[in-house]
Amino acid sequence: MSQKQIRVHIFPNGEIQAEVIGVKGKACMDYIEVLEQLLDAETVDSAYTSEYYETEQAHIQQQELNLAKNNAKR
Amino acid sequence: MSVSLAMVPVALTMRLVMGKDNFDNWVSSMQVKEPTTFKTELELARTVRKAGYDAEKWGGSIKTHLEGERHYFFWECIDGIWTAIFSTSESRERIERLMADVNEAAGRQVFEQQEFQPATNLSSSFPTNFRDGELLFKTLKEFGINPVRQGSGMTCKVEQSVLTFHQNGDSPFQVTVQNAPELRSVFEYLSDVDEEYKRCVQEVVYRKLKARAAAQNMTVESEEVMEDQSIVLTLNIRS
Repeated sequence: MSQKQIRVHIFPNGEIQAEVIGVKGKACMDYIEVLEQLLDAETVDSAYTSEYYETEQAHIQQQELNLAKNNAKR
Repeated sequence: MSVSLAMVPVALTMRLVMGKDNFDNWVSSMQVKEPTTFKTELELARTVRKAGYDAEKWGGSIKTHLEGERHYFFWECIDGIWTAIFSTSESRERIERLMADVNEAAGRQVFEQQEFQPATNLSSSFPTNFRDGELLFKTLKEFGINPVRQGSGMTCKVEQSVLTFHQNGDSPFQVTVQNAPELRSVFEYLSDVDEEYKRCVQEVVYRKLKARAAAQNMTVESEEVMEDQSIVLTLNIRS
């Protein structure tokens, strides 16, 4: 399992860039509020990275697989 | 990684680009204030949206676009009165169209003035990027001048000019410049204060992050000061 990390880049002009690393799918969104509280900052822009889509796609595929299994049992 | 965020500390807003090359832009940011009879923020937002404009929270104020991305203004609650704050460089036509649209959407006269009167409302008041009074006070002191507190604001003397910083709620500070024979030198001074204030914000954010990370069950994996004096901190999240 990959290490879950937060990388924070604080610039001399006060701006901040933050990345949540290794947190799968929508769970990474929970860290937005955590970061805002940690940094006393407001989010002005956000973007999902490729890992979000990979893990979210894997999650959807797993859900579909589970659904298919359940239907097969009936 | 899974999500990437751009953030601005609550001590700061990114309204203005200061610096030596931006004097003309700063002069054009000189403000004209139009008070309204809106009672609440909710009433303001609903009416402005009904009139066909946006009304989004932005750094302690509400931002509304007049046309496209480049033409916008802010609403601020000043001494309990919701006030539209336009740049003097904004076109009178656009402002008057907005005022008419908002009045029509409200079904009453929302703006106290019947029409936009830039000449009578003009004051040497400018927006700033500062939101934290204590940090601003500290920054001014570090500049070797003695700011004097005035309620939630402060005043200081720079050469012959008097600068008064005032704030309403958590809106960004505005600065009123009195007796400035050379507005450019005041601007250059304020540019330096802006730069130093932002450096202080960086330091405060760094210190808070390190202090709070431990309480959130996080450990510091690494930290590095880059060539551009930015700081990169990597924190481990314990599950």
